[in-house]
Amino acid sequence: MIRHRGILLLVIGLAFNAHAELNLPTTIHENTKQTGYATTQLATAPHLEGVKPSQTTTETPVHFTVHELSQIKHLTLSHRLAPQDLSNKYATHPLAIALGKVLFFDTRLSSDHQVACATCHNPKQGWSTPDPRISLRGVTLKRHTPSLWNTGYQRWQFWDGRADSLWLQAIESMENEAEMKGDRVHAVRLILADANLQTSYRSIFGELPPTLSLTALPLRAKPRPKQEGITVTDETIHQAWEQLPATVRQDINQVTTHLMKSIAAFEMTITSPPTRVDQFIDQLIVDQGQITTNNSWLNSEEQQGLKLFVSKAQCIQCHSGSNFSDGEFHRIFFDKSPDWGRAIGISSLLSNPFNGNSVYADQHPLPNRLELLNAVSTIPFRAAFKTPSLRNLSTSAPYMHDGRFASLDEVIKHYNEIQPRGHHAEAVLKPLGLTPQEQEYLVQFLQVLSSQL
Amino acid sequence: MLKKQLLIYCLALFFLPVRVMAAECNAPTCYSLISAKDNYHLEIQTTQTVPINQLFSLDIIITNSEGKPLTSKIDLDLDASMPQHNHGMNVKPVIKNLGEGKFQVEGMLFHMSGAWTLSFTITKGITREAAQWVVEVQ
Repeated sequence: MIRHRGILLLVIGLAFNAHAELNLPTTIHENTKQTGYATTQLATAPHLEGVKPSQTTTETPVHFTVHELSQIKHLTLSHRLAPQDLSNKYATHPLAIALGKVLFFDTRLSSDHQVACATCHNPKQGWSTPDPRISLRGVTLKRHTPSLWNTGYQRWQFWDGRADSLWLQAIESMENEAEMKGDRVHAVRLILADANLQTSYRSIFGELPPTLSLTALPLRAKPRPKQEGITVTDETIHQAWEQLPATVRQDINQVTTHLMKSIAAFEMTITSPPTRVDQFIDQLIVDQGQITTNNSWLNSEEQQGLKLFVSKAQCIQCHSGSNFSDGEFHRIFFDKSPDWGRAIGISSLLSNPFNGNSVYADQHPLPNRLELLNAVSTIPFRAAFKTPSLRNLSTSAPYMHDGRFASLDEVIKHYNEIQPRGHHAEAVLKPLGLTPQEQEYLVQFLQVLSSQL
Repeated sequence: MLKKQLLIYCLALFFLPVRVMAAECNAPTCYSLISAKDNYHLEIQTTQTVPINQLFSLDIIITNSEGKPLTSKIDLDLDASMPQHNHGMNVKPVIKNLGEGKFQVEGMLFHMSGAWTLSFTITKGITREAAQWVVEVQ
């Protein structure tokens, strides 16, 4: 009986498997669509003007499999729209962008007038800093400054994702005693005291609340931080906040949010231009996966690097999409790090009064935001950090969340020899077994992601 | 040797808790499943082909094994994991029970490419029954 049932199930199983395979999402029709889209883009996209193909002609073109192509096609910028943030209705407001740019470079937002956003996010250093971990006022921060390239495309901010918008990230950094050492009342007072800034503010956000004046407000005030890692040096600052009437505190929060949304609007303009990689992929799509003589945007070594990126090296597992980042969190170091990363970032975000579910977000409920805030805090998130974008990475060395690697060679060596420990480790993390030559190809490809056109 | 392999395959199928049924609705946005003990039929409708690293939602209609509406109240839980990676989703989806065996699941996010296993748990009173759906995301 069992035998008969087994044979019957075998037949049924095979039939099911066949159907199940048919039911799997296929990329064939998508490929067709993408090809048409890419053709249109190629014909009209202004970014193609002036682009120079690689000087080295393709001598030994590589062959990409259908599976590799299905992943490669998502890497090009041609599909990318401008970054959006529905929680910030001023995100594309030209005057907000202009005000945000002024504030971004203004050291007066810090209480001691020593640190601006640009102090750590230096545009000449890839919107980051060459220090593995920058020192401010003699104190070394615990993480490397993340580059701001394409940060508007990230769904989480900070290495641990404790902010779900750029304006929340700006508030956090401004009030962090180890970073800008500012506070929201200090920021409001800056607007009240500076006629030019106040004029800009009014032109975007309207009149300042009448409850806010230089005479009525203390010099500094902010609530006690709930997040770990934020040192508090002056208790009177928190006492001053608690003594303010609730309505005044609300007005301060609103104005502060406006200011930080303008900084966020500016940061969302920091998008990287297309590279030779994008041109190569666009042409590859047009040529339906074949590398033709028209497609000399990448030389042979760089093509080998791209193939390794999506195959043997498996970089694509996390560095996917046009931003070369899945925007999510992974544990890739297995030493005894005191930094819990995402595991703490989640709780910080969920308890933050300025998160995407707060009254300060401009759309309620935010589409998709509710679900994003239902982040799951599980053990695998311990010491997990956000996947950084790889675009323009040559300008933002050193690498990793703590800046431990000075070069791309060191990064690849790490993955090539990785030895994950613990049953919560990502099972796909295994030693890559790349030859020295293959490692060199990969580095050459990664460097093209910073190519100047 | 071949007989042995066949026997192992048959046994595996016999004890397999979940079977993927042929789609009666139109793939790639509609899928049908039968639960582990054959008591429920699940029709899963997506708004689009399951995307990589983008939020998507599911509309689920659960009927009895004959495809007829349920007469008892049920509840549904859903999780998704990547067995080959040893992890699951980084977000927790929101499941709305619309009654009459209909559910809306919002906030699904598959942030990596590869095979994802969706594990459904249907609860009726004190009884629970599982169903699984394996989807390859590219």
